[in-house]
Amino acid sequence: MKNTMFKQYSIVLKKELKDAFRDKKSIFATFILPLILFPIFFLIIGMSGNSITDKAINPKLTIIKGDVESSVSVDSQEYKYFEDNIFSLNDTIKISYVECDNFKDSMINGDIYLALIIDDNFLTEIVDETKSVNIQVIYDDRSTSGSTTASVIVDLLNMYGDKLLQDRVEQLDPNISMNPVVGNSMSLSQAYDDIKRYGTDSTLLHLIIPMLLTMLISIGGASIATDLVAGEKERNTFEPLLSTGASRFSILSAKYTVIIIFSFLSAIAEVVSIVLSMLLTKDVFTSSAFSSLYLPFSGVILVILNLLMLAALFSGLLLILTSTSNTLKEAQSKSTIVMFLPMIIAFATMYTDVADVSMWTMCLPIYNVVISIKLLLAGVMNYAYLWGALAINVVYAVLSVFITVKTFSKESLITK
Amino acid sequence: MLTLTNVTKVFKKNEKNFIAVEDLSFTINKGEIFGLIGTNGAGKTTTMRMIATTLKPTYGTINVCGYDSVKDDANVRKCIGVLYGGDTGLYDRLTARENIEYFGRLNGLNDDAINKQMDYLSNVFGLQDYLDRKCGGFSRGMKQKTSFARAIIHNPQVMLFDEPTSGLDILASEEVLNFIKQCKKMGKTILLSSHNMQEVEELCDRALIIDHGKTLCTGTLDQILKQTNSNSIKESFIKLIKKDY
Repeated sequence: MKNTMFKQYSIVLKKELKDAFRDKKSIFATFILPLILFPIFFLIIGMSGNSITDKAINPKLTIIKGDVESSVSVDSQEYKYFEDNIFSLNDTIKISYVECDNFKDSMINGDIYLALIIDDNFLTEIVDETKSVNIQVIYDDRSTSGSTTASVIVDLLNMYGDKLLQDRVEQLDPNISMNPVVGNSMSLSQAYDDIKRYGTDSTLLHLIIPMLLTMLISIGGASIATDLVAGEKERNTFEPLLSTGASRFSILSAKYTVIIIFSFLSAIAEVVSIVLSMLLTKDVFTSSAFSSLYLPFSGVILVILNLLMLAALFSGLLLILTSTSNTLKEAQSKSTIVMFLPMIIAFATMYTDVADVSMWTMCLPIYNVVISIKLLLAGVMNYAYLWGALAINVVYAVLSVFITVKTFSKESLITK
Repeated sequence: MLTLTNVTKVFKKNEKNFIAVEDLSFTINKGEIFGLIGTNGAGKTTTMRMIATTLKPTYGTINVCGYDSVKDDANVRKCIGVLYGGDTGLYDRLTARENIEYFGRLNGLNDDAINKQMDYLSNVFGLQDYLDRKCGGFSRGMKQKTSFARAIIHNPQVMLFDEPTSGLDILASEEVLNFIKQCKKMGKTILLSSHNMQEVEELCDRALIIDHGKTLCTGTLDQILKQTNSNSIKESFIKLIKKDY
């Protein structure tokens, strides 16, 4: 009996996988999209980041005299002062000076990123030890590179101010300390060699891996799930299938397995995608993102089991929804509602600190899987939490399977 | 071979009971074609579904090849072949061969038996050139023939056909009707649900006219004609249905 059931299960599973892998739309949604999404995403982030950095170190600016309302461009003498004394403090910065009649229009048109407004008597006041020179840096508040460039220039101005002050103080008394208080921060493991802290130092990985893995494990099989029962009903293949020698349990188990397989493949595609992103976009990920990562075998297994239980929970939910739908459209609408749940929880827990986790919060579905992955990535192997999460996730998965089996045995499954 | 005894099916809809089939009884012997005739919603499909074990009777029993449809549902399904009416359902991304093979395997056939039956059925339905093509591109007629082959790949003793010639052209219908006659000669037990009275007259030994779940008349075709004082089954059917309304 068991042998027959397993044989029927294998036949349905084989057919469903063959059918699913021939479905180009499902393959695209489940594998191709997660696979190409991140390299493209991080490539764009990297490119726009490079563009901002590039603009910040090669700023196009103008220097004007007077006040904001009645300003005129400075003559070459004042610009030369800036170039020789202030801009030269950082060799990497290459200033492009743009002369303009109306700096506001030039900024709105994107010809310049910022304007430096100086007093009429700038050159005399800057060398006067009794005076404080005010330089106003104006940037376009609609431009990302404007604010970045402004902060670079303000840093340079402050550096020059510090240098002037240092020179003046040294002239008064060379023994005066210029840095009476110095503050430096160091992490525990940087400060002490005997302390080992594991886990990735990449904040980006800390935030996105738990969120995306949880989301894709939960809903990665949604596209295929809607087709597995509601799709069969719509194509009128479901009733003939139920009338064959195969038991409903074999059919259900095979369909259930297909959803779990697709969820996992989708999640694996995402991990591969992130690795590809790291290889392709070194600007976004630091080279040390994985170097300090410590993944103990038992921890990895516990996290995988937690992911498996989450996949089982959502595969069951998706099967219930698709089984209670008569058309693909109806199943897709219902699945969309369920898809929001892991997305909201995964996003909401993006910034959760593993130090704030407690045992009762590890009972919350989805959340506990996000935290399990975060614990692993942070190198905080709290096995009580991981086992606790697994135990409760097994209960959720079993409940989901039980309700799915009940739903699948209902007559309303085939009567519209 | 197939016996329904006082079968009633009640559906609950919004806390109200809806009787789809009421106290239905008939027996179909080996080598007999039995017609189930009724308007849309008369209870034909519900009866078919109960025999195919996808629905359970609320009252009464159904016995197929010696097996009870509730207690031995798995064995019942093994000895029946069902062709459902309406749009023929096939897996569009699979070839005709894969579709037929799938059902053969689910019904417990091994490779040899599948190949033997595949050759036989593809000859009967003219499927040879289409076996390795994906069903998504098939015409309605070709889909119906493939569904037919799929339903009976395991050479079942009892065959349930719901509108088997629906959507087929004259030539394809003729092939299907000839095949059903051939099945009868081979001693198969056939339940045929149809709107086509000409088809019923041509194929069926006995028939049952059902309306609103209730049996209006049953017997051999001659008996039905005599009971309703009619010249054709179509006339009998109309008389009985109008009287019922």
